[in-house]
Amino acid sequence: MSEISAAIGFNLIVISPTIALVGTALVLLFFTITIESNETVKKSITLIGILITSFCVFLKFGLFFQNGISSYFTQKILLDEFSLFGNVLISLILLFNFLPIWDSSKQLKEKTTEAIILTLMSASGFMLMVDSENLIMLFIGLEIGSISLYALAGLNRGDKLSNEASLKYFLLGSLASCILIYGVSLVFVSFSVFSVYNFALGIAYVGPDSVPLTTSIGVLLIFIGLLFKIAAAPFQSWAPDVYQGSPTGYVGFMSSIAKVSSFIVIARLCLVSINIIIEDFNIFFLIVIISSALIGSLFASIQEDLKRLLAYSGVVQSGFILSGIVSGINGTSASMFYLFTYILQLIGIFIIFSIINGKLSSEFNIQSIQGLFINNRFLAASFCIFMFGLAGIPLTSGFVSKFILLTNLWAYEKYLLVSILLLSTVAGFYFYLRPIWIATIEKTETPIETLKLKKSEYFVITTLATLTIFFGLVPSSLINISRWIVQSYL
Amino acid sequence: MEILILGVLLIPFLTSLLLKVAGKYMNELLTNFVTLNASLLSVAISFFLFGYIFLDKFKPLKFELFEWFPDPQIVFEFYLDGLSGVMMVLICTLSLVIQLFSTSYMSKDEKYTKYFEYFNFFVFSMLLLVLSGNFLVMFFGWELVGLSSYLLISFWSEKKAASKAGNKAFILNRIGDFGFLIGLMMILNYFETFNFLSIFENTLKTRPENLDLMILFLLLGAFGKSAQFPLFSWLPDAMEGPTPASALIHAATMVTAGVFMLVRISPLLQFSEIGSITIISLGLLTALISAFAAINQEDIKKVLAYSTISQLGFMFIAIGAGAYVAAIFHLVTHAFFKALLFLGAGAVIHEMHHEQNIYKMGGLRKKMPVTAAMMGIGTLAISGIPPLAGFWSKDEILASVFSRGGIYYGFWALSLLAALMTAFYMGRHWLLIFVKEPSNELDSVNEAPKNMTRPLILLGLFSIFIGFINTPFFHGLEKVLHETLYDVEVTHLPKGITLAVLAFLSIGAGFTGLALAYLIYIFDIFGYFKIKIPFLKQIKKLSKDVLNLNKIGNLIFVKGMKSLSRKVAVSVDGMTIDGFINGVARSFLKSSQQISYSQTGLVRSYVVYFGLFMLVLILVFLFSPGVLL
Repeated sequence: MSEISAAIGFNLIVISPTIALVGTALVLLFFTITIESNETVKKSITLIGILITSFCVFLKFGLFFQNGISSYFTQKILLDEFSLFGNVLISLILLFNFLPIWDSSKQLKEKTTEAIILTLMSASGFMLMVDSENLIMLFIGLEIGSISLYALAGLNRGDKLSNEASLKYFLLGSLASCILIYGVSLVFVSFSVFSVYNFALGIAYVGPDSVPLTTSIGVLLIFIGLLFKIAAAPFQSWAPDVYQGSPTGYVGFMSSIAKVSSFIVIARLCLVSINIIIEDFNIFFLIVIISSALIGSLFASIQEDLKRLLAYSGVVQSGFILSGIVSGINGTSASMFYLFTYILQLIGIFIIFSIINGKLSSEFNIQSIQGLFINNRFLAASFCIFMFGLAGIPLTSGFVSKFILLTNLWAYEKYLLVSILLLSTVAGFYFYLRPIWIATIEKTETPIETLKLKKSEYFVITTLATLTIFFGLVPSSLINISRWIVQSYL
Repeated sequence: MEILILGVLLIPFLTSLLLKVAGKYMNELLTNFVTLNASLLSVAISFFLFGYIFLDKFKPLKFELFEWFPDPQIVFEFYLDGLSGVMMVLICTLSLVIQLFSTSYMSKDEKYTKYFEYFNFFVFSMLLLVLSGNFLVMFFGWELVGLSSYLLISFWSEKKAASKAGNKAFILNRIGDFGFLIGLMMILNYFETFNFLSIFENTLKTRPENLDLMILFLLLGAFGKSAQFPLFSWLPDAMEGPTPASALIHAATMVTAGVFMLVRISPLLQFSEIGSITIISLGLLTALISAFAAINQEDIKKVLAYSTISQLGFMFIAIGAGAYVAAIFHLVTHAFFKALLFLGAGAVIHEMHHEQNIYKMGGLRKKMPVTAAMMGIGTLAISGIPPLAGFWSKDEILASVFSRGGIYYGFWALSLLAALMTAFYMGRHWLLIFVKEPSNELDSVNEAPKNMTRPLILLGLFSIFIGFINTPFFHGLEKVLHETLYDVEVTHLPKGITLAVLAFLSIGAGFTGLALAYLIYIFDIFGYFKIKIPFLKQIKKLSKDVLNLNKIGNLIFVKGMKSLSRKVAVSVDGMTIDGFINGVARSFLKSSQQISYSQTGLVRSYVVYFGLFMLVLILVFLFSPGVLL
């Protein structure tokens, strides 16, 4: 028996985070259906489940240091630095978002458990996605993750905007999935392989000059499907609508988790599978990045809704991260740094939004944060820190990430890209500072109501803000981590 | 000893933090106590440090805080040599004097404590900038200075103009920073370090091919921060902030950051011919334009703002001519007399109950004798009348430009013209405020309180005597900067009779300007002889509108960006790329006719665009080089 399991790479540790998440979801479901239990029990079950998941990720590190880069389950699950980084990020997202998710779900009354289960299932899907070596596995993970997100967007059934967001997200998301699976099938047609590694071998075997067109187009379609998930222009149109319509408490989770996993998959595809033919995709990516930077900054500067503004800012940030990933190994490392810091800021800002705007509400007019500074200094200060981070003002992690990324791009002699991205940063100062202006300096007759924060919320926000400042002052630790991620491709 | 550098930096920072945290519980007295004592302490430490390196023959002090970036190694480090020492002492001293003045000027303001909080934060960031040991720390200071000046400009944010001015300053400075960042990237890419010393050592051995481009990008940053053409339109508007803050930020220190940076990189700059020519010609252009613009301003602070730009132009001229010592010298003297002029203007505004139009003043000499005398000293100093401070520095700049020969004779002549104009508009400024017959009742005007006049007197003394630190007979500042400019070829003054003639000419220009101002505005020579100058009205209008350049810059950089984004967004909005989220939701609210259209309309169009863009991208991919062909 052991021989067989060794042969097919049967190893439960490598998928233990996924199992832990699904298990937690099942236990929760069990409790809801059979035993009458109060909310504290459910809350602790969820929290313990998430902690166990984090522990399982820790176990995977042990496995990695023992086996190195290795594949399991007949080349379906891959264990490499990227998947570990993705797992860590996803468990961090779950941990930091636990509060807003739980509070939003609690307000849903009888649907509390459903919402929690949806988030856990979604996280399990994305865990699978970052772990996948097999392209079909990737698709399955993506779908498990996304479908739960579609439902999350529409959880607040009383709100028409929420319904609409969910529907839009679903329709467009399924279109993107179609394109992705079509790309996978085209790739399969050329080489009859699904594994990202074997696929690279195939390309190397035929040589970079005689790669079949089906492969290139297939890879292109896979990229388009993933670009949709990270809301890069010109496939960004869904993002503002969905961000605006979804219950505020869930948006931080939804946006960060989809971005993390898609970026990691894109990075792995670029570094492993199509590494030797990536030159062919230069113009394609150039167009995507430039249009992301331009469209994102242009639209962000005219938004009157804060959540839409954040969506468009996300488009710009996606352009940034993508530009590093497609330019080379050092660029990828810089992008991973960027991704990490960006996710922290994004989660932080959405936690603050959900506190100000209410967990389930959809629209969030920019004027409604007037007088935040008088009302709650702590919130205003951390709001400023996150916004400064997103804008890339020095002494925050946002500056470091932009700086490293652009310096690397400059070293790759991508001058056009650097100038356009820098220009979008300049424009970014305008639209990131406007909310800060409104929140802190602008005088108002009708300030927002007094906000009371729970201790746990103080804790989470303080942690995120401290990290944002910390990585701005002493980035070397995170830089070393981001270099470690790409070390085996050097 | 090195740790004291950190002390100088941290004192204003901690003060600012304390005022921020405990601001609620502080009244004016307590705030004064905290902030004045803190700045006294930092003045003491900075003088002590300066004395220390003075005794050590200006051997630089270095202090490394921690490693910021592993590879290429970038350390968070500070560096104190003659140059940064001079700046440090200057900033600390001025900030003390100006805070003293502010305690009286800002009293009874609602946000009294907040003002000092921002003020101290600004001092911290400025010190960070000048004490930086590498480009990264400098950039941090650079950005923080911009941020704190933004806060101070829009301090009275309930005034619409104030917040607008703050935004404008911020955006124009961003354009400068854009260039600065690109320059930094090029430097990091070539030298693989940010440390000033190692970069300068490297340049002596090998020079990068694209040095000119590097310098030009860095210049863009300097032009933005120091308000030079074409990024100068923000400074006159920045006068919306509290006057003492303008004195410190927009006259004495922040705007000189560009000059400081250029002198700091002078070991690089000296090898770039194009860079030097660009600096001197744009500096000259700025000096002339803004001097011309200052002639017909009505606002007491705007005149000073334009004169600041013009004087900064002089500093740039000096740098372009390679006279780095002269540039720093003029920076120092200018800081004192311009701070004096601004504070004097502040006192006048304070006593005139926030009336800023100089035509509504006049005859204030009798009401405010001390202020009048001190501002008179400032006016004489800026006009270049010996033996006041401005004469020595301005004369040194003019003489250095002259001594370069060739095309620089032309530059010299034009700079002399700018000096004459300076004397003229400053003379007008002073005469209109203090001498001219008053046009309306000024009974309620009294001399400013002691807390205001004392700083003025102090600055007045400085404006008289600070010039003696570097005269043709005693090269004090040159010795201070000797270590900093060790490998730099500095333009020196001509010798003997030439120098005397040049000095005579520049004194002549100063007197002529002042005399003209007297003749025109007090004696009214045109009215007396019934001379009519053709096109006077048009010239006046032109001068007032700053040759419309101000507007054009604003149009392109500030309004253009906004309206472009709006226009594009609106026209694309028609194509529902940025469709608002009301496709389905609207269907519940609007009439049935629209339901059928919008229910699926938006999603459908999203899908169509999705497909279209996908096809376009595939086509682009197919036709990109190396795929099909």
